[in-house]
Amino acid sequence: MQSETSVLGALVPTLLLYFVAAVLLFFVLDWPISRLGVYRLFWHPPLARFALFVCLFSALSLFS
Amino acid sequence: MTALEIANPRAPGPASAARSPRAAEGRRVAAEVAVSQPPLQPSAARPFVREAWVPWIFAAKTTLSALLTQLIAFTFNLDEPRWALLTVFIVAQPTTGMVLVKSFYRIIGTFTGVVAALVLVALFAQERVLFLGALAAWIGICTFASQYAKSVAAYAFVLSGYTAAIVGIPGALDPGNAFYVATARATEISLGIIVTAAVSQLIFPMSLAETLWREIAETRVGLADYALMALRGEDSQALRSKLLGEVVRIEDLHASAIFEERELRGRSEALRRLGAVFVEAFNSCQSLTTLRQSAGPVALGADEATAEASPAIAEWRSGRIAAAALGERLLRAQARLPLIQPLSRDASVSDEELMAASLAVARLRAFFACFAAFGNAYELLLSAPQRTKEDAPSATSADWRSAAWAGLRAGAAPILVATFWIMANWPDGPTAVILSAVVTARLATMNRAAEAAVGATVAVVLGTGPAFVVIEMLMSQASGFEMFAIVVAPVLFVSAFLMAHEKSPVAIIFGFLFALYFASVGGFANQTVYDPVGFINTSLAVIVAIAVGALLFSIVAPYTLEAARHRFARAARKALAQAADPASGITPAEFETTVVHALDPLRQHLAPQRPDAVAAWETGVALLGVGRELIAVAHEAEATPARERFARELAAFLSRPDTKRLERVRQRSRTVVADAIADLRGGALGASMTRAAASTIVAFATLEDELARGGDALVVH
Repeated sequence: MQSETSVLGALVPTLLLYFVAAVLLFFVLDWPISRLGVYRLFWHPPLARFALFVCLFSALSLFS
Repeated sequence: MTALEIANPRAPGPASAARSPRAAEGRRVAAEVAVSQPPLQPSAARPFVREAWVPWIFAAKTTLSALLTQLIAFTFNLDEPRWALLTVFIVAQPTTGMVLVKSFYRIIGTFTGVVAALVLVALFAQERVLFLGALAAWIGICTFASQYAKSVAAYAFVLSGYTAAIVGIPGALDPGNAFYVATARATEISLGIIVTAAVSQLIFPMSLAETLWREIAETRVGLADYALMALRGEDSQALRSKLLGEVVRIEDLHASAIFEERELRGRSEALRRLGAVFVEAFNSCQSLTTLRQSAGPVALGADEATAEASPAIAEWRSGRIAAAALGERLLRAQARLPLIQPLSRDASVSDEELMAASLAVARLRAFFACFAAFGNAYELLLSAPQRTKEDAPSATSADWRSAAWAGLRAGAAPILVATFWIMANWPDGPTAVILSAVVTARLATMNRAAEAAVGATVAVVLGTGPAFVVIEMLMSQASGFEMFAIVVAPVLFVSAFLMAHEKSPVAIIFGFLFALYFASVGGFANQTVYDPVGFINTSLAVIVAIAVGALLFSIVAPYTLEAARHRFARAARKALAQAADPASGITPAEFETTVVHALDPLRQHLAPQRPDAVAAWETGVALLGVGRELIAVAHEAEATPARERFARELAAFLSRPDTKRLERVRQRSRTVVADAIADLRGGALGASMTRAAASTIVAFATLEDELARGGDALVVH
């Protein structure tokens, strides 16, 4: 992974782009999971949501 | 005989004895007030400010303070004027009580923070991990203290926490100049504090007293209207929501009153009493609206009582009679209610109808008593302030648990951001760490921080564009302070305007965080330069700081409704166990204080658009009735087998609440009522035993009903 990517001529940190992608992906995944009530199975639902986001972000950053 | 004693026709015991001195005192004070001057009116010394103007005036004053600090900072060539601007928005408050005292404590806090920062720099400047860890610990401790100390000293703690971050981090990065950095920051922050205090005090000072009297007067009128509707058997959703909002407001006012003028501080106890009585009266009105289903002799008696009571309430509402007269007329209304004994001798009335009748009578009696008590408490509040020994800490002193969580959040924020800073070698890390400390420490003092902070993050992201236009395009073209002021003032005005909406915590936080963002990225200096790269980088840092704050508020002990229900259930169980135990000696006043205080976490979630929060709060309030009856019943000597079974079931339910046990407790209380009805109808009792049986019917019927309404508050998984 390059540390900076060129977006329309400006050098932007690649992590930032992955972050934005992870946020969007998180919303896509989070909405059906919340609707189904899966988070209620966890001890600490907000922490579980945050953990999902961390997993997505880390996966995107490490494996691309 | 006072209204309260008639409402509980039982053998005199410690319970009613504890009530009568207070009721007698209330009557005496009310009589004095009715003779002396009318309730507090605004005077020339305190010009009347209409409520709709408050946000505009506050926004104008804050913008003026901010521009003034910038003018002074530019004139004297201070290093970083943005800290003065930021401080203005951190300390600005719409009400102006004790401004000088608060500013004094804030400056003390600033200097404490500076000293702490210099100590940390001297110890750990070479060891960044230790330094940041110690700094986070200091911020956490200061935030904990600011939440726990419900006195003016809290203001000092708020400031000392993040001032240490503001001074310490630049100081640690450049230890040789740390002392100069410290004096520069202390100057800028103190400038912000002093200018805000001066403008706030000198220009259109708006004291909390006016808001208080206005809210209390609205509460009184609203409650009277609701009571009149309840007596007619109608219900109004809009009025209920409004009164629920009043419940929240009165308690907030009470919490702020101790930080205001002495005249208000002295009334804080009376205000607390009014809040508690208001909750009971509101609950009582609500239980009346379901009363209209009863038929037969009870309905007849109830109509006569209502015919006596409604005009009395209407006249009290319009101010034609005082609380003492209201109390007497409500007493007369109570006397018209049917008694249980003659009803029981009427063979045409079945057992179920008798129980329903006794329940209806009990509710009406309780309603009259609560309303009379509200009238007395209201006039007690309006009378001369009590001589308090000092700033007596009231029952609203925060529990240490929520203060500890606030401290943990405030300490965790700089650690998280600093970890990322160190590992990513982020050039803007210092800004992000400092602002994360500021955000979490300041948001800890505000309500509904979690949801508001998340929304504010998005708002700031979206506001980056407009801010860029203002700062990089307009401001860089401005020459001279006047043009600078014209460019910057609208943004500041809008942010401060949002901060002034005391009824909407979300708007307050939105305004505050946007002002924080604007002050941080503004690059306000004597010579403004066009620096878009710096703007974007700093924007990222600010957004990270706010996002970390929002994250921590959402994850670390979030103020969810579930958590609030658990806390309330714990406290209520303990209070009810004490109430049911004759040996505990708890008085009704103490029980009421404990439960109303325990309702606080539930009250913080109250909003008209949240029916689950409203339902949770209402079931909690119904437990007040349960406790009252339990205390009265516990003082009666006789113990039949049925009552002993009831006591055992109740103890079992309180130790492990679930729906089955609740059902069994209700079943047992119905058995007690049935037994008492059978005794009464048997006709073989003497005079005192007849009275005791009648009161048992009323008490246990009420218990069963209130448990039906409120038992769910205790059954929390």
